[in-house]
Amino acid sequence: MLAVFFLISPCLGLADSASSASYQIPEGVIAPAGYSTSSNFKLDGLISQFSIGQSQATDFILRSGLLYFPIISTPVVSVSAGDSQVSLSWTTATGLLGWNAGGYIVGWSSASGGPYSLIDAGLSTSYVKTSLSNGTTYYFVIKVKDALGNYVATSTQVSATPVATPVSPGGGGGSGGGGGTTPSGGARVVFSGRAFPLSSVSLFKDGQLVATTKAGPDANFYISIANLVAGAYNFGVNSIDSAGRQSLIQTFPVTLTEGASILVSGIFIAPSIAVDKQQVKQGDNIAIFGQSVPSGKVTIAVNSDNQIFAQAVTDKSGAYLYNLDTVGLEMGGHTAKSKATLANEISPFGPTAGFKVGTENILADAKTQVCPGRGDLNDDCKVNLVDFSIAAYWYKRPLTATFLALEKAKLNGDGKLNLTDFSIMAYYWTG
Amino acid sequence: MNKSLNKKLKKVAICRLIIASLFLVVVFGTARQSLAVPTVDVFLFAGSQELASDDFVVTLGLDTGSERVNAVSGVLSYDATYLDLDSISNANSIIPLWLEFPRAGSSTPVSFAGIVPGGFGGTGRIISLIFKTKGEDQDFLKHVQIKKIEVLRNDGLGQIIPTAIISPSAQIVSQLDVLTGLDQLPPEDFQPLLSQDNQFLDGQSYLIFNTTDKGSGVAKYFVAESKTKLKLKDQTSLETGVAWQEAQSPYRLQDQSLSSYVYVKAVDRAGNVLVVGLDQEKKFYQFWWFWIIIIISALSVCFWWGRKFL
Repeated sequence: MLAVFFLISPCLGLADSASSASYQIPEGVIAPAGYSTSSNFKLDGLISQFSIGQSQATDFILRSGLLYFPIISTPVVSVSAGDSQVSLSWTTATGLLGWNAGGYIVGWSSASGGPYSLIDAGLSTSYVKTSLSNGTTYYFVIKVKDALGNYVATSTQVSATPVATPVSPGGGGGSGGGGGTTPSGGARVVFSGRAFPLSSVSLFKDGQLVATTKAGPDANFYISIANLVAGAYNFGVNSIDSAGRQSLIQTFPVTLTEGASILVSGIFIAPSIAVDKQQVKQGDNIAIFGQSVPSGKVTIAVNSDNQIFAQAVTDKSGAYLYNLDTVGLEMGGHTAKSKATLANEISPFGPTAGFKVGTENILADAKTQVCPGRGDLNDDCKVNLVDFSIAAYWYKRPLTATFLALEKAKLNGDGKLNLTDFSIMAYYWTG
Repeated sequence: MNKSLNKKLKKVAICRLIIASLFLVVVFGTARQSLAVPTVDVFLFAGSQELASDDFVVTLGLDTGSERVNAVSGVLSYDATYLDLDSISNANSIIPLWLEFPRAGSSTPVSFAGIVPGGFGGTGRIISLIFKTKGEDQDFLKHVQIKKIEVLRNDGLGQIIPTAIISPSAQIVSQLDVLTGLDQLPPEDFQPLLSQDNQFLDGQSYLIFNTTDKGSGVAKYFVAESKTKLKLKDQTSLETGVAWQEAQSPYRLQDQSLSSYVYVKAVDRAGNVLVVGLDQEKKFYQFWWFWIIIIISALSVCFWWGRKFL
């Protein structure tokens, strides 16, 4: 009995140990999100003296000490139907805090929602499913495995219907002559996913704006482009939230064959972000806010000496707000960025919002909250071909004092104009 | 006695040295493996485009792995003993905006630099060199080399990602070796932009334009400023009846009063053209009917005053 007592005693918290500074979980386990299937897991801890009948909390969450949010982005899947086959390609799933994709599994089924037959695609981000029946609609998902072979993310379901290739009538001699300067049988690409409720969504083709649409109240959007010639394209999608803040462009490389119709679905635009102060007095709160999908969870990463992760929930309009206590932040510059989760879908991280921790509060001006942080050389709140042309003009030329000041304020500020400056511009591109 | 002891000590020391070396190799080898730095693979491959029999096409490609990149620059060299550089193509390149695009006939080696707005992740083509071969060598690919390559991460900081020059797999080559055949299509449609900035080009108005061509790549741009509106049958007509001037973006407009119609012509390597006009909103006084109304109104007023007081 005595031996048993001594064995379990380190795990027991007694009434007088409530103020202990050395509280610990002896053999804590960090498991990636989604692993636990326990319905009754609980951790009993004491944070105050007992007082019967005083608690009225209905939804109490305590997060303190070691917080760890291992997450991985959901692949965005492109699907293209062919003759008895369907070609799939997807974006790389990127992990956070060292969590990387260890492989991809293609799930396919002739019934929406599965059950899916699974095919290991290795680390490849494309797969062609052959031996399918023409005229039958097939449904696909891409599952992401971690290094241990556990499923850690699943894409939204996409579908495609293989069709037989029409056989050209023989002996007709074709159209011949005529120059053929218009794309006959042009290809079509459709993009769908989630942005911000009622926001403007833009589609870019090789960096140039080609179409815009408006997302619904549920933040879902659908945008397409047709009459495209065969070739390799780098499409991009971004959105502007209700306050005018632009998201970063998310790009999707797509190779089109003549007459192909490709669906790129499951796009999840990263949340917009802003801060209410450009400088916050150490110890005061700074509001980090933005917009994403309605009723989603937003993870905010604050980049400082010790990276901080916080979570907020979006309201019906997709807005979120987190008041960050700067007590633990060191003096100097910091950045915050955010990503959103809805059901099993996770967006990539969005743009960063910068702030300083100092000795007094300085409110952020409205323009700083809306305009791109860098790259906007002509100060029109956009980073586009005009800014690129201005910078390209000075590439490998001696810089004037005026442009040097611009380089310092809007680019990387090293007094030179090189590829690094253009990379910054490409990152903040708004089109 | 001392000699044998010394020998034993030496043997022990050597053994310890070997064990320590093995230990270091194992430890550092493991550490290096576990701390593997993400890299971008770059490679050259010979294309199978159906061009002339003595043509040899070499394409520079990259595989970003789990990375996303947005800027690439590099230098390619070739052995002029075996190869003559005929032309350079950016068809199907991941790079739509070029800072530096070499031209055939320029000095060897050839340098290039460009960016991908929004970034790129995956496997893609960067640039293709089209050579005329000299001699009977069957393996011309070995005469082309990547002398320098720099790939920047799409992270808002422009950090350089380490690169590895590899031999591409057959799967990658078949994925990137797009058979375009004879290019009969014009460059992609585009819209020139008019801009003016007090801190740039002496505050004068300038034109900005850029497009891509999937079949053979854009070769040149031309600009025309005309007092009359062009009546093009379609955008791909070769006969436009105006004087074209070869141009690069940004292009300083000659007519700073902005009273001319401005057109841009993009020509691909196969000679297909696309002509687009600047979307200009004329000031009200630039329309002839405005002056007709003014004259009629003035005459009417004069007539009314004349009748009233005479």
